[in-house]
Amino acid sequence: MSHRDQTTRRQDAQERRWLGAVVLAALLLALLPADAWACAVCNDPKDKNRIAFLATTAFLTALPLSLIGGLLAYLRRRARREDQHTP
Amino acid sequence: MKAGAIALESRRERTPPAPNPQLMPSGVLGMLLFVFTECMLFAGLISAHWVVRAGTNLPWPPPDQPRLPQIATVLNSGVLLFSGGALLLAHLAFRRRAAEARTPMLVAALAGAFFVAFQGFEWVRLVAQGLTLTSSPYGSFFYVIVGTHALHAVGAILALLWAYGRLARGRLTANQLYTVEVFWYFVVLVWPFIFLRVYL
Repeated sequence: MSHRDQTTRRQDAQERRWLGAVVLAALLLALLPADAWACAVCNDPKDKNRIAFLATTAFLTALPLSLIGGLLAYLRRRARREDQHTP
Repeated sequence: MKAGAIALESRRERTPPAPNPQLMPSGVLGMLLFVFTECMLFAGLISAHWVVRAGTNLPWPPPDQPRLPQIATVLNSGVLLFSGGALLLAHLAFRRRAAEARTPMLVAALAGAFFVAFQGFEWVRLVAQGLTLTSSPYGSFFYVIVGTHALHAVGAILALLWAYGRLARGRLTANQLYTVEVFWYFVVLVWPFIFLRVYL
């Protein structure tokens, strides 16, 4: 094994260790406050308000995914059709 | 013989592969990506309106604020939808013969201009009745959301008129028409969502 390969492997291992440490730290931080909520304002006692928060969260999450997903699905279908027509 | 075959093989290897067919005109793809960002802008505005409206302890609309003109706006929405239909006709006519698309495209642009002018007229009346950008969250959301849509409508009408000008000179390409169409259909199709959330 060349010196360069060894260096690359050492760097990869170091990066993996760093990544593991960051993930572990994030998990520990998430566990610290026992009553942590992902959305601190989604617990309004008013039903109407809670539904609005949850619905808009779902709406804003789903919209970009469906827009980009729809475009990609359309392009994929067009590409397949082009492939079928290409001799 | 063998040398000739090798030369032929070598030439084949050097021949560049056939270019990938274009799945979508660049202009349409660019406009679609722009429209996606605009969809997110309107989704954010409508979501904010939804959350504020649900969270308020006061009646919505506030008792001291004027009511939005629902019936007049339904009729005006019909004009906007008609404009989208006219542009669809222009699309079909363009595919048959470019010159045939002139009248429906002009009708689409004029109907769009009427929609915006009517909105402006309603705004003047509402401001006179006391509904302003700072009078209440009700007024703020109304003017910001409907105003943002009106700005897009004005931009799309200008694009339509630009396309019409090119068509009149016989210089409009199909890709240019499709690109403008995407923008106008966005303006037309986003309006019913705005109407349902803001006016009702």
